[in-house]
Amino acid sequence: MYHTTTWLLWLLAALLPTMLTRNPLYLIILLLAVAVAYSTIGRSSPVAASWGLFLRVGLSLAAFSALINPLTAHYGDTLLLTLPRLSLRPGGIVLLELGGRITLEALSYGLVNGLSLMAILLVFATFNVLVDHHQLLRSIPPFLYQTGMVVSIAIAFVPQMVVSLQEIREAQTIRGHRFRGIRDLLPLFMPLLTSGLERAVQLAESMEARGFGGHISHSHQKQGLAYKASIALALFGLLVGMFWHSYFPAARWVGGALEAGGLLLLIWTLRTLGQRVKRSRYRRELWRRRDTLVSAVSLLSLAVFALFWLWCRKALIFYPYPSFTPPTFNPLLGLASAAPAAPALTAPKKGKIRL
Amino acid sequence: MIELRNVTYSYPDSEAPVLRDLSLRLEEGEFLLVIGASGAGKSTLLRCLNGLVPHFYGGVFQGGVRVAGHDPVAESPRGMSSLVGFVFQDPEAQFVVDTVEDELAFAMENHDLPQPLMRKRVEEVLDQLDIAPLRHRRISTLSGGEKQRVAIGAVLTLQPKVLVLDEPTSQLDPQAAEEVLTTLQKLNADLGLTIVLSEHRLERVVQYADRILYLPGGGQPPLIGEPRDVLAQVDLAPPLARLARTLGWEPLPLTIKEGRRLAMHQIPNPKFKIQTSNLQPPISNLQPVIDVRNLWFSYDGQEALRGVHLTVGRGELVALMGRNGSGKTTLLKQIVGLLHPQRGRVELWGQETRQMGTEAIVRRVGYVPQNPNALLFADTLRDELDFTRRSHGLPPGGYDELLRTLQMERHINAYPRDLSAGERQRAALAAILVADPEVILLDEPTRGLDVHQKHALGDFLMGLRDGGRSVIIATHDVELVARCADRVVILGEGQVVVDGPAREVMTDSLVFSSQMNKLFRDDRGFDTPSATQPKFLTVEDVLEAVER
Repeated sequence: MYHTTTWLLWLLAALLPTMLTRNPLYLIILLLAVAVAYSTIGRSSPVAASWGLFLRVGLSLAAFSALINPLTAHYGDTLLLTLPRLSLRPGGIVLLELGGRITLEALSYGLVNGLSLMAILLVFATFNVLVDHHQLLRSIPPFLYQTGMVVSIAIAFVPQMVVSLQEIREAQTIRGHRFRGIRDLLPLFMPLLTSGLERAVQLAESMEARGFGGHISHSHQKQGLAYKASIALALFGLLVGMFWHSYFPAARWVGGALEAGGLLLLIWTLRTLGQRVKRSRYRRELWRRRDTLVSAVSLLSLAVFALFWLWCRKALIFYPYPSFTPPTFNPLLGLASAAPAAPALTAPKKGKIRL
Repeated sequence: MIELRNVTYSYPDSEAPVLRDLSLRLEEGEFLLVIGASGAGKSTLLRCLNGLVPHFYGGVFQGGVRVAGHDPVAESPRGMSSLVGFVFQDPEAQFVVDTVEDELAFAMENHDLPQPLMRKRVEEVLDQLDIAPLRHRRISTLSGGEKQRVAIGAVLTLQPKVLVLDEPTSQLDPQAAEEVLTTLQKLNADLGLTIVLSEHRLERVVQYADRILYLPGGGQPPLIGEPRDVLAQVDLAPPLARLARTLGWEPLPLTIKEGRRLAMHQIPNPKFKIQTSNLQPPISNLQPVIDVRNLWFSYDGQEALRGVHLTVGRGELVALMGRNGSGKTTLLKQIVGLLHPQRGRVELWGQETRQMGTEAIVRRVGYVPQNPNALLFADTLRDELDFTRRSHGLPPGGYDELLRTLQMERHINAYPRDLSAGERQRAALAAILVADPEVILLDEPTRGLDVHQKHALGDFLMGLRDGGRSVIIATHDVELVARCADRVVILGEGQVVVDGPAREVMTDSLVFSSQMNKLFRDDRGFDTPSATQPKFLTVEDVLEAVER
């Protein structure tokens, strides 16, 4: 219901804070905003079920991090309690020390770490639920069209493979087959492979019969050779550029220039190659007013965080060691962290939603 | 419109040509039905029309093809795609993108058509095929019939001159198949689209065809002509045509409507009576083997079985019928212990499946899944059979008899995946039956089988039943059920709707009755006319009555 570009901006605006700040207040606001976006418009998505899974994974990761940090890190001034100690020290070197001093600093640091992990996970989970995958693939540049197509078909294949694996497993079980070792996987694997291949062949036939590959304007043999040469040259440039950095760290700009040149050449070649395939697009996504609104909000939030990071980095930092100080709060940053909730506010009322 | 001149083609790595010296002329707007045993070259012929043969498959191609003035061999499938629309057998495997509307546009995008034109054509095709309500749906959520109609739509947007369909209904249940065939007939009649269709279920489609092409396979010359003429000569004819041929009715009826008129005329005062020996013994006399009591089961909250009761005795052949999604497969899986009851119980030989454990069950129960490909993995059929016997702790060998009955002895060393659909089905059957189970469960065993293979399967199952085995077949195939089942159980929305002797259940049913039953759907010839009086189901029934 939003433009794919809008969602990409939204993703950026939601991810940037998780990268730039460790302040738990902003992270919590961000988490809530993302959850609001999901609960208002994400539920009707066909992959909505995956969100709950991500949430559970995120929660357990966060809990793990919040628990393990105070148990293993013993710095910090504010002692909360002392637990019996459990050390692992092979050959006199302390590898790991569990328990002992539990400090408020270590606890809060663990909590913030967990929070930040969870925020990243949840942002991606929500994006995954909200965005239309095929629309996303379609918005990649035309010279990567074939690649995008392959990816989209591969994505569609996975659930089919899971279904047929289940079918095969059942069939072989009923046949009296029992799994004891690697060799016993053959009756599972062979039918899966062959049916996957058969399906792939059928799909290829179907695509061919509907003119996939478009109408390629014929090129001379020389031209084809030139394209190949320029791709090789571009890749070579990239490779040399990468090695340059490690061998001649002093003259970094040469490596950078080689890399940039290679990349540009590669893009240009693929682009011209892509333009030879004549194909049109059926769908042009609608850019509605709410897209403008959400994009503007996302851009503003990005700008706020970027500006703070450049000129007032202190406001973003939260570091509990050596002695705990409560996180600061800047209303502007708080507001910017709430930006991911914007799609929920501008979305049309329930019942009118059409994904 | 279509012209084939002396086409001979053989696949790579095969010596015998599939098509030999085939010539054919088709006028614009004709509806050609291609029939023939499985493996006779139907699919190959259809693929010649858009160049998939030989471009996609390789092999040796001789002769000339012209479709709408173009040569598919020279122009390749890609070049022919705007002239020939091709719809494949498997509704699952031919879709490229995920929503209906995008799928319809896919071919046009490849052809670089301008957007306004694409919009217009998509709207037109949606209306033409009556799939407008589906336009925003995801393809994975569609039913089989809907999928095939979308597949037809996806090629129609290029406005092809010829529509070619390779057994488009073989994976569908009868209702869905009807949907697709009606759509085709409408396209042919309203738009004058030339249609070439291959199909196994002749009884549904002969009435629409202008001509039939019969490919006998095995290098014999093909036969082409008016449906009546061809059906009078080929042995793949549906029951109605077989009866008419045996009794010498002229002209050969194609529809039940024509048939009834002839039957009334030709047999004005019939003395039909079904012998009571044809009716089955009451079920209570049989020793119960499977006992399902008040069985409930749901997948993720979706109820599949809602309080099913079913008892099957020793030496019974039960047909399980009902719409797709009515719970047939779920019930079979419950019986073989793949699924466990959420409520109620399933007992085998008086013992609950839950307590028996899968190993104990599969030693005595054989289950052939819908898709034989899920079973077959070995290099030869022999390995396949030995594998099953080994899994059950039986010595290898000892299956010559079984293979003879299934007419598979000559394939014993064949690679199972190379066999035709019908042969693969029988290979899977053999792979299960080689362990000699006491209970045999078959899920849709007639997919891709021609009439002969179906008859052979029916006879084989009856032989198993007579040997004291209990057989349950889940199927849509009315004629197979009419031929061999003792009892019919119809499921509807996870409940047993009807359970009774086959002849009683199938008599005067609207959906689940055979051609013969429809033909004699009146009370002529019966001593005591009544609506529930058991009547004819098969050609053999009728012939027996007529001869008496």
